[in-house]
Amino acid sequence: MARLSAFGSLVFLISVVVLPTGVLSLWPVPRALDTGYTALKLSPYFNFELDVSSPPSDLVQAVEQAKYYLKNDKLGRLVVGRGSSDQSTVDQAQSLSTLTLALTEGAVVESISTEAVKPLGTRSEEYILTIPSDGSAASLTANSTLGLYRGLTTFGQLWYYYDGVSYTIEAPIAITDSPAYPYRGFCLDTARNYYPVSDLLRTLDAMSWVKINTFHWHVTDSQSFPLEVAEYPELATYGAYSPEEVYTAEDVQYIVSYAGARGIDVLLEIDTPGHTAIIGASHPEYIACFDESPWATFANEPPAGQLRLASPEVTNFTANLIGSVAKTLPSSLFSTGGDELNTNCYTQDYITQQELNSTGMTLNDALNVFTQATHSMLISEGKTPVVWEEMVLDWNLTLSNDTVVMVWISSDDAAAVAAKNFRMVHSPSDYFYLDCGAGEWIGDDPNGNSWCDPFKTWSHAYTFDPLANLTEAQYDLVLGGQQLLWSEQSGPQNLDSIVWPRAATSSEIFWSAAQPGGAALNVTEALPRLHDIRYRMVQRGVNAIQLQPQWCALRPDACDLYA
Amino acid sequence: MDDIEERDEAYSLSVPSDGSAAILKANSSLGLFRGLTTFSQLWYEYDGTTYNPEAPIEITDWPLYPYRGFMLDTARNYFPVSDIKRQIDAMSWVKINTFHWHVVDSQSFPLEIPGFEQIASKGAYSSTNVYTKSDVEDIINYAAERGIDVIAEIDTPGHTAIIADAYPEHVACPQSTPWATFANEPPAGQLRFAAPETVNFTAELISAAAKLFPSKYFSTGGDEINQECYTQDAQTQQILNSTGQTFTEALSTFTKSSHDALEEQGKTPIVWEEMVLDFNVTTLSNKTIVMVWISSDDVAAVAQKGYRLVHAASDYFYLDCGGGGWVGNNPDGNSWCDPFKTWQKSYTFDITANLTEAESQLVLGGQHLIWTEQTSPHNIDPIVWPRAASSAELFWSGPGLNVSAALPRLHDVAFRMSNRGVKAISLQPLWCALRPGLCDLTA
Repeated sequence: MARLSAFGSLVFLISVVVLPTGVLSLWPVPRALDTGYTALKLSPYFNFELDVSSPPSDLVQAVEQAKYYLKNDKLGRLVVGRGSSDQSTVDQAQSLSTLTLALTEGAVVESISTEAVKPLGTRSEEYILTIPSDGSAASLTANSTLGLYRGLTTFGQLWYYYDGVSYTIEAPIAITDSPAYPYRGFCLDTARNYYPVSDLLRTLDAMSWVKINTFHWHVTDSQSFPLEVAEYPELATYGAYSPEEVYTAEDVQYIVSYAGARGIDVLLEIDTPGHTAIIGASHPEYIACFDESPWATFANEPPAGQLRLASPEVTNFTANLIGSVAKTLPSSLFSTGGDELNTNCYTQDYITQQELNSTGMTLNDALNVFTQATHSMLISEGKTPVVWEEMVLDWNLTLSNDTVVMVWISSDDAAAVAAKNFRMVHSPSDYFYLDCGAGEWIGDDPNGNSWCDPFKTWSHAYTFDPLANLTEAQYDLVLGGQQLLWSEQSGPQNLDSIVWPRAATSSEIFWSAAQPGGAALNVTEALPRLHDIRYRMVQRGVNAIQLQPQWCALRPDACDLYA
Repeated sequence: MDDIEERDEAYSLSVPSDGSAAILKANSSLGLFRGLTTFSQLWYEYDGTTYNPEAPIEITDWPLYPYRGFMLDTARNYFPVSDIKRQIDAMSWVKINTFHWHVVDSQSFPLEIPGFEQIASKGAYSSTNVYTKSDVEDIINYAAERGIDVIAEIDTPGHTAIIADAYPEHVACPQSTPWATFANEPPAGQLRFAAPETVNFTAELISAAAKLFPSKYFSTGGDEINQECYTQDAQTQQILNSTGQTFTEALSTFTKSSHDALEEQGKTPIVWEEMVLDFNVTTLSNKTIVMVWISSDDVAAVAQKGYRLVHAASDYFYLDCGGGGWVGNNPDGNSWCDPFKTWQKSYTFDITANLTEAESQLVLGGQHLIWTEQTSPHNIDPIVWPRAASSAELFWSGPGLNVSAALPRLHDVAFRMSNRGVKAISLQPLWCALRPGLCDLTA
């Protein structure tokens, strides 16, 4: 009898040791990652021990934020039962009470915000995170407060929740992490439709959860000018959709500091000389083909209107406008845009033609003068100009060697930009445009379609190769990449669901670049982790879209094509 | 909730310009409700004053088609009662009068059906992702107060994988792999319609479910029946062989049993087009209503068989098209019904295309539909609204209106919806919404 029951309890023990079928759901996946099979609880008295002398206030806040997420995420593991089957092992697990945060010997203590805006290539985002399985203190070390912030973000993705207990089932965990590329961005157009500041802050939060470090803010365009510029208040007065639909100077500073505290650099763009129709509302004399019809002759979308770039007065105005805005921002980057110039607009503009004729310049020459004026203004302020690809591929301009080029029309164009030896940021419409596939928004066109159809799924974006068609010598020119939302058909109502979790795809392509251990990124491996980050975003108040039926989210791989 | 043809939604509304009383008249309280809806759309606000710039206003109004619907799939992903009610509100603002509730499917079974509680208990996504009897009553009442009939659908015999979690004996190819051999999407699993026990089970299930819904209409579905699932199901083959029935005969017996159960409750069955076009089910009563979904091209074929029909064409009215492929490990996959169906595309739908005068009488109306493989409460409003309002106008006001004239009014409805708490998507830059016509193609 006794032997039988001993055997019985042994069988019980074996059946309880369940190997985890879920994956450790980190996004972006760390560059080096070791996990185990031991359950570990988070103690109800868990605390962060910040071993940094005179910690900057944003680091202290980051720790508070991390505490908040630990307490409130309450994310059930994405398996059938949401973690109920983990409980028998979790009940018997050790408890983790402490995570110590420390900087490496000799590290300089600066605020996260200061670290976040350092020039590309000089930032330190790396960290080491170690979580033992025996309940002894976990440790996070980094060379900068920004690195500590990145590590805290990862730490916050480790914990699941069931019935009052937060836990992981994969201790011990050892992570050594650093980004493969320095620029991981997200671009939002706040001109076609306006987004209240609160929407931008929520978006910055979501970006920080996946280690996106650049907010490319396409703040103005032909349809509206919401940016309040102290030296040119008339631009927003006549150009914003309403007095409430503006970004005041205080708003901008608040957004910049909110971003900085989350390790995000704000790269502002005032797109010029195209995409400026709205400036005509306050300065009609600066704009060629202002609101002209048919708009399709003069612009890529309505309304038509472009800066009279051959005019010295307009050139001065633009340079001063850009200079006055750029000097209020801590980033070392500023974009002057330069996409989709419509030449008809200038051909038919009497004033532009007069100016070109009288100086004997071609349009290209005039654009060169115009661009050098705005760029030298930026450079004099210590900023690096950023432009869209046409400025180097379609026009013959003298740009500073440091100029950063955003490749957007097609992923095919990256090689051509590299051939001209410019550093680039991948923004290709065929992979990274989040607005593609929502049909034609232009009116009276019932059979029209999205110009960049089809919709770019997360998995299509995930197959993007940052180094395609580049020689090894050109690899260093790739700063990174970003996904982008053009807002002709978007606004606060659908912001979260059209952006997340898809915009996390590029964050992994440019942070992780490969699976830990070196294998290429793989959509089958990635999907369960992307579901996980999506569900965690929802817990944290971001309305990320559902990627599949929940049935699929709870059964990794069961809804794959050949499953 | 009267018979479709017996409802009276007509009203007349007169708003004089001299400040004397406006008058709303109708033959029924439902008509008054429709008129109130119109009245509430007349008013703008500026600086504390509510006004209309177009008095006097004389409206005589009635719907061209008696069925103007919206279909929501609450099985692929769950929608709390509050989200459903908010959709019902939005529907009522554009006079949609039918909520087609595709309540269960292969991925989940959130409906608690008396006598069959096990299915929800095992098949709902969680114990809180359910619709209790009182939730259903709540939704029905909420809809009814807004002049909306709730037509539930329990899709059978396909789309029933989840039933295997509670009643494995009734389901063929449950979660069989590779799923693509056995189903249109994962998981695979279909009711063993040739088995008498399953025929009875289904009839009882449908009967019990139908008792929860006072509508005179109930859908038993019948789309996307995968034959390989049955070819490889030993039980089904054994029954077919031993009884000598064909697939169609067995399916007809199965269907008749559920439909008889509905008719006993005084309900008219609704089915998807395959029942009529692909499977030639012989036991459909001539009162059966057919929903035409695969393509607008299939409408004439259904009408030729003499069935009343509801337009639900994927090439015009499917709100989920264009969201990319959702099946995993398929980076170059696309939405099967790409491209995205814009409001304008839906608006140009030809209601009586390819139909004779007589066949046109069979058209009850139509609806927009949202299949929710990639939709949840987090994006439901912007993916549905205001696009679903374009079929609302098509089937109330009739075709022949042009997209140029309609767009400013659709913008208006979208902004009003937004103000009322429904997150209707922005159709265009605000610059365009404020300047009617200026963002048209040839403007």
